[in-house]
Amino acid sequence: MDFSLSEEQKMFKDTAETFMSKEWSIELLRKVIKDEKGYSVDHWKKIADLGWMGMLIDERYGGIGCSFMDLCPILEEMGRALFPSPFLASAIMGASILSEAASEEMKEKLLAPIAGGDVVVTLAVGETGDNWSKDTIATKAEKNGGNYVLKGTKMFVPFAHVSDYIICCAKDESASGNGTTLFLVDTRAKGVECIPIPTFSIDRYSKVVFDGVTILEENVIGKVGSGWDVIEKMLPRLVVSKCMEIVGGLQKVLEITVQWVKDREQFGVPIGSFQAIQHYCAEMAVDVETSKFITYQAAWKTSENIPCKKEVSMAKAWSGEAYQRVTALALQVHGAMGFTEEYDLHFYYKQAKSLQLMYGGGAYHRKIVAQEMGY
Amino acid sequence: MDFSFTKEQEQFRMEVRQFLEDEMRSGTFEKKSNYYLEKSSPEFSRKLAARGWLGMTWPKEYGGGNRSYMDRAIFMEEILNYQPPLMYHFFGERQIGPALIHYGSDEQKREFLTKIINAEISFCLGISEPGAGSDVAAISTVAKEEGDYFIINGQKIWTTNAHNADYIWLVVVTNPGGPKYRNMSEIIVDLKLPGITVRPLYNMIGVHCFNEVFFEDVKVHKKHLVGEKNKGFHQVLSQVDYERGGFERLMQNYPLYEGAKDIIRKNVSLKSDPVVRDKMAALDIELELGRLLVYHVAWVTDQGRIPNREAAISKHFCTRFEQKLGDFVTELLGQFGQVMPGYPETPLNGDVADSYLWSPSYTIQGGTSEILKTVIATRGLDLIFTKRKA
Repeated sequence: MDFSLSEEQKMFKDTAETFMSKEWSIELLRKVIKDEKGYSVDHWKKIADLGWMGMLIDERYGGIGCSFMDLCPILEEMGRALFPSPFLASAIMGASILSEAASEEMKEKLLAPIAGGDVVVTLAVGETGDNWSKDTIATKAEKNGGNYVLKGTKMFVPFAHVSDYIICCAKDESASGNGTTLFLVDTRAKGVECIPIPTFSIDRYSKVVFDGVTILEENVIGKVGSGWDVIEKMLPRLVVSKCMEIVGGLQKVLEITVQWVKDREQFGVPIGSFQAIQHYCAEMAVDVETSKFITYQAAWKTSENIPCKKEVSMAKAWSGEAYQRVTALALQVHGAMGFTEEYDLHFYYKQAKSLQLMYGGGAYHRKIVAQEMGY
Repeated sequence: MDFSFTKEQEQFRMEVRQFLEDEMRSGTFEKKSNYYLEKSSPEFSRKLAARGWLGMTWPKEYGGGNRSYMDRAIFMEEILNYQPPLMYHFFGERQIGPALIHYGSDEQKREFLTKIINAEISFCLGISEPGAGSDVAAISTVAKEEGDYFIINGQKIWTTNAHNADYIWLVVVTNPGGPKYRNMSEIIVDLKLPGITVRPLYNMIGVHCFNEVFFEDVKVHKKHLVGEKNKGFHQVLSQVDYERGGFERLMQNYPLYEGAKDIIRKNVSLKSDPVVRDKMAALDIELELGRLLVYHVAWVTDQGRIPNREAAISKHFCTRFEQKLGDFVTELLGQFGQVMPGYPETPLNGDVADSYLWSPSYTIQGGTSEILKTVIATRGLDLIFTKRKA
């Protein structure tokens, strides 16, 4: 076992840390979340120039071809700095799914622009606002001659409103066994409508309506009927990426809180000298440390292609709830100041809950753990 | 990062497991929660010694294996899965040997290290007193100098293994009236010396593990003083970091854990109960987290750092897990959760009731959870330690 980052990972972490501290700030976040786009196009271009968006894309297609693990420290820094962008949707899920399943032509057409940040892709799977499951997919793809017609509604599609393409998972009645198929949908196509969902997350989510959208056969991703297999194979990357953001955020919240209790004085002394406060902080540190290890273990296994359904669910169940606990405790320790708009903490409190809810909360992932235990 | 073990480590794990499996099958010991500490067997300890599994991390010059703390953690993870009797060598091997290597005189090293590593002598730890629990520096057992000797008077309590041990590692006041934290020393005392009385204390399970130890004009040669006079408090502090972070804080009830998993697997109504599934999964997650914390402590130690904050986090988290486990399994078994060992229809051989009764001790011994949280906050997060009445 080795609990330290590799030299390369350290380098990525340093770069990300420097970028976030020099280029990004909560002040920018405040502007961006009021903006229609919900992210900074300027910073999007900058991180594309740093090569981050091509990290999971093969060199043949204009990427860098790193391991998933190499990307993790960057995700951690994004979570710490609260950096909203379609990065996860496009550079992780979009790039991963297309690399895994798309035709050669599609890869050539899309992967280099994704790596360059010129094209944004997102993923539309869930429809119920509940956890993803093959059984709850009702969006239909009907065969019409050589083409397909897509009908249905997807919920909580990340950054769909600024995406060029949506990878849509639909029930494909033409496929044997009534399977699901992945389709590449141009967001400018007739019948596609993105309706923003007002959440308290720093990330933007949309309801996407496909109202009889015609999809050419060449825009089928992978094998007909095998859509869910691809999703399931890439799902650990998505879940672990969220966990990495959580781990970054957790560390930052602890730092903010420790600084606060050292500075804030009551009864003539820093409140951090009170045992009640100290013990809260200690519990927070335990949550930070445990979340970090379980998440990095899941990331490492995902990256090494070691089966890790259980470990990924352990990471999400634990870190998601830990982030909620820690931000709630941080608010308590901050008193009324933490409850104000002007202080930064509320962004973390909101984001913690959002990240906990996205792609399965504690109870959901514990169900998976129980299944994996043989129950 | 890398969460795998080396080939050699995997082989070592298998070797230990095979040995324990064979020993258990041949009837050397019974696989039962808490037995590793409840039972003492010089013969079994010597079998481990013969395989080079005591003093694994000690330097070669003292007969040690010069192996990593990671290897020792692997060894302990396997051990706790089987719960063979370890009490005989446990304290000597875990912390007294390492403390002697660090602070002991050449003569002390010669006299004790080989015997500890060969499981020829047994130690107990004399730290707590009736008036000194979490506040170690409040001890009042005094060692008065008289020529080449100390004359010791006072009382220790909660002294696990004192009734079986040959020696007690004693913390005493050597500068009465001197400044707190700078008036204590560590000294090795032969328990056969005149003036020492060991009186059993039975815990709430009815088991005799710990004792009271009384000292009345006990005469000990000064050569048995360990390290520097009056620097004992700081020596003790640096030793407890090595005591806190091990698998024994996570897996004392591992047979119970496996048993509970098995009961659920075989019982359709439990297995399909969403609450049971959720709670069992939650425990499984916490066990895995604890495992990572323990291995992290080992890794930090192998990096040459003292696992201070890390060990405090680990013990606090792991002991809380063990308490949840006991509570959960009693409920799982319904009214049988309270039945003591020996009754024929008791599931899991009465392990449940036993573990539940043991579990309050985990968050008290070796540093209470409150003390640990203060360590995390003050030494880990750099918050101010509030000075209390000296």
